Amino acid sequence: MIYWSHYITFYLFSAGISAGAMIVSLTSGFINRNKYERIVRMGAYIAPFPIMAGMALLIVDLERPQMFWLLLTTFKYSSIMSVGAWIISLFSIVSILYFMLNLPKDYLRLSSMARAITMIKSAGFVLSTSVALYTGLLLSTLAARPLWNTPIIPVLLFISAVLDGLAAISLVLLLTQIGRKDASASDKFMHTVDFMLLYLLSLATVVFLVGMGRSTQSAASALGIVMSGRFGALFWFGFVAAGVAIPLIAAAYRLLMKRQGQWFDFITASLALMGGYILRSVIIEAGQTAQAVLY
Amino acid sequence: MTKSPKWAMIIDTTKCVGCFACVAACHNQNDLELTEHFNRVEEQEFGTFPNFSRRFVPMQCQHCDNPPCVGVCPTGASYKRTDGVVAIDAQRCIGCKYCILSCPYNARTINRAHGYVHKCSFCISLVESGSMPACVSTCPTGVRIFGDINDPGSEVAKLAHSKKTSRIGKDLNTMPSIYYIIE
Amino acid sequence: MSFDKKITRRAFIKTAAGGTLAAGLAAGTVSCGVNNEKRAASPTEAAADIKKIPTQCQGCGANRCGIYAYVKNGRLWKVEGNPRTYNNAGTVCPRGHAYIKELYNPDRIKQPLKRTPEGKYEPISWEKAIEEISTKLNLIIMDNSPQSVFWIQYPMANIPLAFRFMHALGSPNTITHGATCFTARNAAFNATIGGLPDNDLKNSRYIICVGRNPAAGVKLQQIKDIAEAKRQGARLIVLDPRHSETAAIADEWLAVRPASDLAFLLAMLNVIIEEGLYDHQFIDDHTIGFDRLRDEIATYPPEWAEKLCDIPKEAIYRVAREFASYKPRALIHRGYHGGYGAGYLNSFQTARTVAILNAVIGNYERVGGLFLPLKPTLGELEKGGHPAPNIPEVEKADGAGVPGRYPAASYSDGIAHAVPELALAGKLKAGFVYHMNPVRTNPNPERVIAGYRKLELLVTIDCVMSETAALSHYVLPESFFLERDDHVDTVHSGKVAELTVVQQVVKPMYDTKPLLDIITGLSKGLGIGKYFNFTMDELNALRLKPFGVTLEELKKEGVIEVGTRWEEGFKACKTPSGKVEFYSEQLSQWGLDPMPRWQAPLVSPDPNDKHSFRLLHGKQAIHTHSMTANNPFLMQLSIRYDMIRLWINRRRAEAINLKDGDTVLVESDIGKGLVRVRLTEGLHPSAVWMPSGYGIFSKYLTTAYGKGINYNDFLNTLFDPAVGHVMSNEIIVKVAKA
Repeated sequence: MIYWSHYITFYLFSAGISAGAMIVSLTSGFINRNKYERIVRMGAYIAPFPIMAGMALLIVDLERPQMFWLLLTTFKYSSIMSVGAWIISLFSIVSILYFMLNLPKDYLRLSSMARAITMIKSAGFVLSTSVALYTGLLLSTLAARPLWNTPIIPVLLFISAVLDGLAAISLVLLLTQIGRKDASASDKFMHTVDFMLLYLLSLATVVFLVGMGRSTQSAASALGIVMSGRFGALFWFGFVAAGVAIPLIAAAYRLLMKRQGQWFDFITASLALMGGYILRSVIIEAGQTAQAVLY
Repeated sequence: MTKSPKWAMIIDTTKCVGCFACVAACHNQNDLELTEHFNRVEEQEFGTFPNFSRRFVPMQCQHCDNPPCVGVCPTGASYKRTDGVVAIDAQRCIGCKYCILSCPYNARTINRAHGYVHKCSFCISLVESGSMPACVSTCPTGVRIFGDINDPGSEVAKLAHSKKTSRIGKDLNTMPSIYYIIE
Repeated sequence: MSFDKKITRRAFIKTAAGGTLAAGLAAGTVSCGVNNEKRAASPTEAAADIKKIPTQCQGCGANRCGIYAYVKNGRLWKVEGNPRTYNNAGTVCPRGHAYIKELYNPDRIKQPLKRTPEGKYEPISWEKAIEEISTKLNLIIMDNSPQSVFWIQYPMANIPLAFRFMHALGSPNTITHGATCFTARNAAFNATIGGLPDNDLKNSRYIICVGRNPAAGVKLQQIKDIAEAKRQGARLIVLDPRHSETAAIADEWLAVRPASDLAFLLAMLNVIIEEGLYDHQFIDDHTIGFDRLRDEIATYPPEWAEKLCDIPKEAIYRVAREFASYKPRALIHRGYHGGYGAGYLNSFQTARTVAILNAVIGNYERVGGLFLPLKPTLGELEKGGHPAPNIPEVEKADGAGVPGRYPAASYSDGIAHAVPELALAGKLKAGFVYHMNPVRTNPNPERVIAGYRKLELLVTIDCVMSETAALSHYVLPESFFLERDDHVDTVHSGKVAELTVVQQVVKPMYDTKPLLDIITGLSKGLGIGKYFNFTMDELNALRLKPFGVTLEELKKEGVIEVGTRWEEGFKACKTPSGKVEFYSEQLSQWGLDPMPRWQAPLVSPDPNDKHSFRLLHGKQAIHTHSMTANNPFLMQLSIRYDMIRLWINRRRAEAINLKDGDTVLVESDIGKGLVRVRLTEGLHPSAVWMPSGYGIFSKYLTTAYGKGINYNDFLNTLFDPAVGHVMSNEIIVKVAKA
């Protein structure tokens, strides 16, 4: 029985993009704000919006969307969803502040207040990493769902979130051609990070597959649902091949051969985003049908 | 002073013939929609012809003492009562379905018409008026025994504390209030 | 049971509330302080106007369990078992719970209907329908004879009305579904002990079910008593080609080769007689023909039987010895449809052997054995000044009970599946079908349709548009059982004598009438109105007269025990000799085997063809005949649990490349159909098994239409020579991947 629809998949996916974009923006800014300005700015511009769309879909997926406010008048530390609702709310506020901070005009009149800027950035870093982690913890803490109930799921989704954030930044930069003139430094940075994240993601995927396969009977049968049948083709072709292997090979090729090409970047970024969505889609749907108690 | 009651159930699968009377009685008692179910019957097969056997395992909310559904509920709609019943406050349920997915026993269902999650309540309104839950009273072979586990003289308490019974999904640490006789 | 102290709600809340917070915090699960005992579990818990009315369940037609129907805010809500009934003792089966939902089934017939020349149905008023039917029937009776009219129905409490109506017309042709169900068993027990016994399962110490599966062909009292007997240490043996639901709680499943139960039973009898394990005193005092039986049975040792029935001889010896060792508190279940009700050419002999095996251990009228159930004698209409019509002094058209035709068949059951044949031969011209669906439940639907189509007048009285109704010239909607008052009934009797009654729970939703009103209306136009000048209340009052119980009392209680209880001790049999007849002179005179004798089945699967199987069928607990498949809740269960599947032995299935859930083409010499398979180790390799409640093809039954197939689609029209039963397991089919 499927209870969580593709709305939830999109919610987790969009939260990942927002958090990932913020993480990439803050990190690149921390390393060298001037050199990577177009990345910093684009990350800040993207961060607030996907998650808002995702929240809207989450609310639509509720059976009683009109009672959504109860989520925000309750705080329950034992419920990842309750904690997550609060984190996402705070993230939304901070991401908007961060967005405005990075606009060409200083609407917030904060340019002179270094401490406030640092606080926004620090809060942004803590909240964006928390959101990226939350999307995995929401699933991995359910002992009833063996496909989800493994520590590698938050790791997998965290890496994927940062990757998706990066891909989104790369994609929008390519589409808008913002700062294209002095793009070589930022492109190289993005290609390096891209490769590292894809490599980590492939490692995490191996850990996920081997770990599940060698675990309990229920975990193994849950993995079976993912790797075969309806979800098999999606998982192997949509995620493993198109979402990880091809972008990884492309990223390696770019780095080693020092090749450039906007079309090339466009396709690999799109594939990475698509892979991120398919990964979550398969995990969400197949995970719901997997049973901890086998009858 | 006697302890207040804590409800528990014994399900003796060695007596179950898989007739679905409990499923049908529950459906009426709780005014469920056509495809909704608070309980179900799982079937298992063992052996090869002609040394073969089957087992029917009635399943429903286990009224866990450590209920994952109560923990994950973001609004506090799911709660545990002192009488052992895991209940849902329909007024606080927003229909996020997180609890449905958190339940290892697949015991919860969503009422699409009203949008709240609901499930077996041990027919607590019947129990409080001195009757048995609908699934218990209709069972022709006496698969189900219901009672107060805090009453050491009760059949439920005796069986629950005996070696004959076990609980489903021990490694999940849910501590169900339903005890099964499997062999 | 520990739960006997009554707790008031207020006291309960008071004691419970104190500990709530602490428990919540300790579990680390609640942090927002919303744990409140008074919260409603669901909006439906709100205060409601609830009425509780005792009546009788009609969810299977046969058991008619005592129930309480609950009406909540004017709408039927639920049923509970009446705890005072001998029959179901407080429990209700799944069909009973679900069947009440039929009240609100949109497929119900909402007013009388008449068939148009195009085969459509249009509404007609009751007056017009009754008038047209009477006119036509009068003409048919004038042109032919009253005997050209028949009435067919399940044998329900109100069947005396049908007999009265038909006898008044001058026709003996009142027929039940018996020949498709149980007549071999009834005839065999009649020949042996002069009646159909009941089983004292509760007190038995050793129970053998031969094909009988009370867990799915639900008889609540039987399955309840088996569970109770087992609790007290009884052993339960199930002899069945399929691992039945009863086998699921049995101590031993004997996977007999289909159609060879007789071999197993003859060998059991052989062991008990050869080894002198029988009850010598009982045989001396209460039986005849034992010496002849001993000679006959000597030829059936277990060494002979094991080759036929696939049960190792060691098991036969052991079961025979165990069975005899518990005498007289051991029994072979008297059976129903499964095994030998109407299954095989040798069913009559199988049932005879069951009757005799019970007799040789002397368990008749003993605690833990078989006994003739008490039947309180109801008061008759004649006592109230309503003379009965004479019983027509003509033979039944179907030959039931007629020497030279089907001598062992009973007058009251007749032979249902002979109707199409008789209609085609022009011997039956008009018929009434009451709450029965021969087009779906009789063999070879094509032929049944041809026969029923041939009738000049066909009237169906039912609540839904069954396949048979959809062939009829007129369809008269009867009020649903929860909408009408009906007969006082004694079906609940066994070791105690009990009265029950059907009474109105809710007002009729549509333009429907109870059967008595329909018959009364018809009788006026047919010139037999003088036999139907009473109301249901008058009829019931007369039925109750001998017991000193008023109708009001009975309606209040639902069930009232009357008269004496069953007591242990042999009573003279209603056989010609007054004794248990191992050798039956009567059967001999009819040209039938006077003693049980091995008889091979009529047909057998080809052992060299890996696609050839015997087609068996049986009930699932959630369905009755063809009447519940259209119940949305029950059909939903069938689908949810994937129950509309053909069972097939795993090894045989794999030999023809079948996987679980594959669709197969099933084909016999008269029909074919597609169905999905369930691979199992719980079925004899020579057979496939089909659940019997599906294959509805009336397009008016929107829920059930087109779901699954039915064994009748594959069964030839057959008549067993003794009782004319349907021999419903004498089907060979080919099964192949579709």
